[in-house]
Amino acid sequence: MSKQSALANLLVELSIDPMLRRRFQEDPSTVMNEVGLSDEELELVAGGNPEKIRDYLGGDVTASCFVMFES
Amino acid sequence: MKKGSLTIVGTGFLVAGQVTPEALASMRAADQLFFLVAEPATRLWLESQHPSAEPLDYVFWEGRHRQEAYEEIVERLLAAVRQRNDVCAAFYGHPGVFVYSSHEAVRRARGEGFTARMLPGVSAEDCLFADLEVDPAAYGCQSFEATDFLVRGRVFDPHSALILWQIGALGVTTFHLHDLWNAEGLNILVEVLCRVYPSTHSAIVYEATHYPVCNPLIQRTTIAGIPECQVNTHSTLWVPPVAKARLDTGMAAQLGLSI
Amino acid sequence: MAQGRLTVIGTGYNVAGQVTPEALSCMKQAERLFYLMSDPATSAWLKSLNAAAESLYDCYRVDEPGTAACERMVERILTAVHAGLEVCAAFYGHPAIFVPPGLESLRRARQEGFSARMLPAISFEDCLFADLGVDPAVHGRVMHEATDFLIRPRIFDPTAGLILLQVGAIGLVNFRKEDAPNREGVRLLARTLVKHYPESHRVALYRMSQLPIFEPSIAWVAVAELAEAPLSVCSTLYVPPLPRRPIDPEMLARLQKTVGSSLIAPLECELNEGTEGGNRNVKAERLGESPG
Repeated sequence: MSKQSALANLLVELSIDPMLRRRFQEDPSTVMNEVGLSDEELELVAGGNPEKIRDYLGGDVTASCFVMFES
Repeated sequence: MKKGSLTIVGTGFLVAGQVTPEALASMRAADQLFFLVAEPATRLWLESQHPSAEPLDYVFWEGRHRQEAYEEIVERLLAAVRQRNDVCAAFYGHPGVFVYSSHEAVRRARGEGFTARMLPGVSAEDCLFADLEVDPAAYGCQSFEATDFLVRGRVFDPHSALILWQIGALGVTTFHLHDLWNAEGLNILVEVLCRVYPSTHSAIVYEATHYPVCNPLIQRTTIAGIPECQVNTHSTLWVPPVAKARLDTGMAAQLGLSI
Repeated sequence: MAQGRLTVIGTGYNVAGQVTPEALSCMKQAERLFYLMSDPATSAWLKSLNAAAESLYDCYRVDEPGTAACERMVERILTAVHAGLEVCAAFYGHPAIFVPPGLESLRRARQEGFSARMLPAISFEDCLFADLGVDPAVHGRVMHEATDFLIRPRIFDPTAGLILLQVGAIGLVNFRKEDAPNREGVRLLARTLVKHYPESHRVALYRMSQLPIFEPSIAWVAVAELAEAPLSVCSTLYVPPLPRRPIDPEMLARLQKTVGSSLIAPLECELNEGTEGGNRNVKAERLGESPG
């Protein structure tokens, strides 16, 4: 099951507001503290690794919904 | 028109950041919302937008025949529409690019007398053009699925840009759950490309980001260097044109152009 | 790095309806918002969004080439960036696709030491795929600006879809206010196309609806009759693909051999249309998992 979390909420907020994204890039700890991320989440964000973020958020979303060429 | 409708929308690539207002309005107004997205944050957000959002990814399983899976999606959507509901289906990216079942669902719904339409979404190419800062119309652009490009001997011109989709899935013809890539297959791709391009010609292996805290993966290399890159199922190859194509002076004159 | 910053965005083709949230946020928060729109409704909406909104339209001069207007636009945008402002430049559709001032102002800003980026947007092709029911992944897609296609002939794959941008504006270099398509250009285009396609091959002249009260305009004609079809300078031509070439079994077999050893080469059942159910069970067994 996908996990509702402070990280998921932060990702939504950052996705819709590029200025917030920039404020985050310049001073990530302030933004993250405002949102109340856990230590694990702080590490994930600092790492910038999309696979780890995806795994943390969990859920049965298929990793590769890719489409094959038509035979 | 019968009561009951189908609207197909796209969510783009960046959680909620690329969901257009018209798509969002359609999702919220629907009696039933189905979705197929690439990662969990988008899913969580969609579920917060609609009380009964239903995922479609259960149709895919390891080794399943593709056509069956797509048919199941179409039928699931049509069944809901036939119940006289306003149905919305959301796919990541552009809902009509690399999806197959969406256009078919629209056609079939219309065929059965229902209103159906698709709204455009931000596609993977839209992200590529913005992230790589390239204009596909400047020199022309040719896009192919990579396995199709090889097995159907696609004809192309190096004086236009070339985009190859799914270079990480060469030769793969059924669905797989895990990320896979076919490194050896890339050597075959390079061999074919080197018949037309110098091996030192620049190429970019690109992957859009799904998260605002991660950068897109942009690997600038050469044709020969492609197999050394980190290539995943969602990797795309961008090959810039070698040069401007030669001017047809006769045609230019006929058009009254002095170049 | 200086304080001025540039973000280039696109607004799609439906007033506010196709503007992504990240683009909207940029436009609202910009200290200077430059815009170039193709309809007055969107321009009016942008002005209501940001008091510092300024149209780039007056960079055009009648009977002057578009390149001069582009220069003026880039200058105006860069002046604001140099003044240390948070600048947003908004163009209709996708700002990278045939919008020279979009990419040029990015390049210049960065060259002059400023931070600059572009956000993706809904393109004219996105609208075409949705309205015409076309998935470019199925057959591939070749796209050209129409004049470029004619004056710089290239090899292209007619078994892929062909999209030609601005077919009504073939050979038109100078800015004009009225919608005056060049039929002679389309005649030349038709003569070129019938060298690659049968005369009866049906093609679509397409214009997206730019206001929510209008439907898109889609006119299907035989390629030989293209020059007589309803036309606008903004028309896009879609040429459906010719029947595709068969698969080269040798190449497919070569690729299949290279697919990782952790996966089963699934080839035969797909191509020979075998019993999928039966094959699925076999695959699942060999993977060591139960089916489903």
